[in-house]
Amino acid sequence: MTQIRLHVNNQAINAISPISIAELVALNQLGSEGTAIACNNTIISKQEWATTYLKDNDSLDVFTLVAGG
Amino acid sequence: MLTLADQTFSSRLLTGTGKFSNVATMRQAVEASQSAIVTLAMKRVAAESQQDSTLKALKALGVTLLPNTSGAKTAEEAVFAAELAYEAIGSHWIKLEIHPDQRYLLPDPIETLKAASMLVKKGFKVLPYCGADPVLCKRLEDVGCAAVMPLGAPIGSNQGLQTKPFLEIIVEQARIPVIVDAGIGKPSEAMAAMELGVDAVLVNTAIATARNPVAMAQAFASAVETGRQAFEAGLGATHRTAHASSPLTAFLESTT
Amino acid sequence: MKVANALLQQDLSHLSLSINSKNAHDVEHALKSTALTLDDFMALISPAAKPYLEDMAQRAFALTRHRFGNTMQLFVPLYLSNLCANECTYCGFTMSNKIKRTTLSTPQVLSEIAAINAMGFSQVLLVTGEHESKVGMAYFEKTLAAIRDKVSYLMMEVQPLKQNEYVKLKTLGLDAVLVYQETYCPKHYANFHTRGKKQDFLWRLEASDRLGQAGIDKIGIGALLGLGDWRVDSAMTALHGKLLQQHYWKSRVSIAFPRLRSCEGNTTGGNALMNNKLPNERDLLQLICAHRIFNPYAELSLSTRESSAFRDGAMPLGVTSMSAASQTQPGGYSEPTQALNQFDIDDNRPVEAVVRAIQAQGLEPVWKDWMPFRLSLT
Repeated sequence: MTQIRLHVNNQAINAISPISIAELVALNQLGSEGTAIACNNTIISKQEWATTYLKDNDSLDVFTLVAGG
Repeated sequence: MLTLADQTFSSRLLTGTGKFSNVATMRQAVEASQSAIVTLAMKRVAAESQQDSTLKALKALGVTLLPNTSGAKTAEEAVFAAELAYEAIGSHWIKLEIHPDQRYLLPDPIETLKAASMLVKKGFKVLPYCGADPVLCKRLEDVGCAAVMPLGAPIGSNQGLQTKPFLEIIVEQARIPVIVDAGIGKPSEAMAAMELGVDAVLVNTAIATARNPVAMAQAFASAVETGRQAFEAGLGATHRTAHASSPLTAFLESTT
Repeated sequence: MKVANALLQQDLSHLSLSINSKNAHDVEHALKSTALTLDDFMALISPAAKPYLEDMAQRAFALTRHRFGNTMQLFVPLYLSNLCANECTYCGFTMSNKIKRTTLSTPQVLSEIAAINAMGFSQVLLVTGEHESKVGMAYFEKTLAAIRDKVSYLMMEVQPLKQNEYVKLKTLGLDAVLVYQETYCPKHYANFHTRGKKQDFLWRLEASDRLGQAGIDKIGIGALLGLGDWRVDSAMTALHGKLLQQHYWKSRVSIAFPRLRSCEGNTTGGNALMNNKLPNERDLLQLICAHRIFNPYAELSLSTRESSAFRDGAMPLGVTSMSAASQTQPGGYSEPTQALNQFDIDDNRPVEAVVRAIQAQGLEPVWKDWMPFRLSLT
C-alpha cells in the first residue's frame, strides 16, 4: 500500500496503489455510460478497466459525450 | 428516407444538440424536429462532476447518435477523438470536423481529408464537415466517406446558403449523400437547400437559440420535408434560352 | 467496375417504351430545365421532340459557345493496321473479308505522320483493327515512342486493353482512348459480333472503368447507330457519359455518334436503312443537340462519315471536334489507295476546304490545343 499521485483531466489527485481504472472510476463517480478513458494518451477499452492498474504520475483523460453541434 | 452507408433514416433533418438553454428543452426540440440523427461532442469531464444528462435524454428518444470531433485541430487529434467516441458509445458513426481557426471555426481541408482517409481505413462511417469545395468533396468521396457535409456559411452565422453555386456543383457531381452543415438560419434556407437537391441538412444554432426552440424545430421539420418534396416533384426551371435571329436548322432542307 | 455495373442494370425495353411515350409536355419541360435528367434526354431524342428541333438547336448552339467558345478542334485518324481477329458483320476489316492486310512499320508510321503534319494536323487518333497477338502492346509501345514528339494530342481507338496497359501507355504519352460499345444491347451485340475477342460484351463495356481508373485524360464513348434501336443506344451512351463524369471526375468525356455506313463486303448498312433503324440527318442533328443540352461539358465529335453539307450545318450546334481529309486505310496519307477502307467516308474535301467551312461558321479551327507537360519526355 503506497500512495500514488494521478492526474485526472489535468487535476492532481492522490490514490492508494494498487488501484485499477475501474476502481478509480467507481470511487470518483466518473460514470461508465458514454465514457471513454485514455491513460497517458492511449485509449483503454472498458473491458480492460478492471485489469489496468495505475502507476504513480499516470495521466488520465476522462471523456464523455455532451451536447454539441 | 435518407440513406447513409446502407442505413436508412426517416428524416432528412439532422439536429445538433449544442447551445440549448437546458436538457429538457433540447430533448423536446429534438423530438419536435423528428430528427433520426443528432450530433454530440466529446468533452473531458471534471472529476466528481455530475454526469451530463444529455446522453441519457437522447438515448431515451432512440435517435442515432453522431459524435463529432470538434476541438480537434489536426488529423491525428480527430482520429483520437473518433476512437474515444467509439469507445464511449460503441458506434462507428463520426462527424469529422477539424477547425484550427478558432474565430470562424472553418474546417481545415487538408487535415480533414487526411483524417477521413485514416478513419475510413479504421472502419468508421465518416461524415466530414468541409468547405463547399466541389473538388474537396470528390476527394473525400474517393477516400470512402459516407457523405459530405459542406457548409452553407460560417458555422453559427445564420447567414444561409452563401455557397449555393458551389453546393449545386457538389450535388451534381456527388455519388454519396450531401448534407449541408452550418450556416442555415431559417427554415426557408433549409427548404432552399433541399430544393436544390441536397440529401439532408444539419441545423443547430437556428433551433437552439430561437425564442421558442421546440416550435422552431417543428418549422424546420416541415421546411425540410417540403423542400424535398419539391425537389422530387421536379422544379420547373426559369427559361433561359435566347433565340438567335436566323434559324440554325434550315441547312437540313438542302441536304435531305 | 462501377460504371459498367450501373449500365448493366438498365432495362433496355423499358427505355424504349419510355422514349416512345414522351410527349410535347415532356420535351418542353426538358428544354426549360437547367439540370436535365436521363428522362429529359429521352424526351429530347424522342419522336415527340421533332417539331422542337429549331429550339433545341438554338439552345445547343448557346451552350456550346458558352462552354467551348468559338472554336473547333481538328484531328485526323491514322490507321496503323487493318489486321483483325474479329468477325463483325458491319465492318470492312472483318476477318473473313478477303482484303489486303497490312500493319505499318515504324518507318511507314513516320512517313504517315510526316504527311499528316504537312497537312497541319498534330492531334492524331491512332486506329487499328483488333489483333492482339500481332498488333498488341509491344506494337503500341514501339509506335507511341516513335511518334510522341510529333503529336500534340494522342488518341487511340484499338481493342480494349487491361488497366495496367493503359497506365503504361499513359507514361508513353497517351492522352485519350476511344472504346465504342457499338450497341448497348447484349442480344444485338451478339448478332453482329460472331467471332473473336470482341464477342466479349462485358470486357468492352468495362473498358471505360479501366480507363478511368488508369487516369486517362479523355475517354471516348459511342454507339454505332443502326445496329440496334438508335434511340435506346443513344440514351445508354448519354447515361454512360454522365456516369463516367461522376465516377472518374478527372477524365474528360467525348461522345461520338457514328452512323452505320456501307463498306466492302457488308450488307448491314443497307439492311439498317431498309429496316428504318438508321437515323436520318434530321434525327442525327436532333441527337447531337440532345447530347449537348443534356451534357454541356461533354466533347462531341463528328467524323467524315457525314456529308460536307451536314457537317457544315451541324458543326456550330454542339460539335467540338472534327476530323478532316481522313484516310481510313493504313498508309493512306503518304501512299493513297494501298489497302481497303474500314468504311466509306462522305466528306472527302481537302483539309483547306474544311478549314474554310469552319471559318465560314465563325469558328476558329484549333490544330493544337496545348503543349503537354510530360516529365517522362526529355
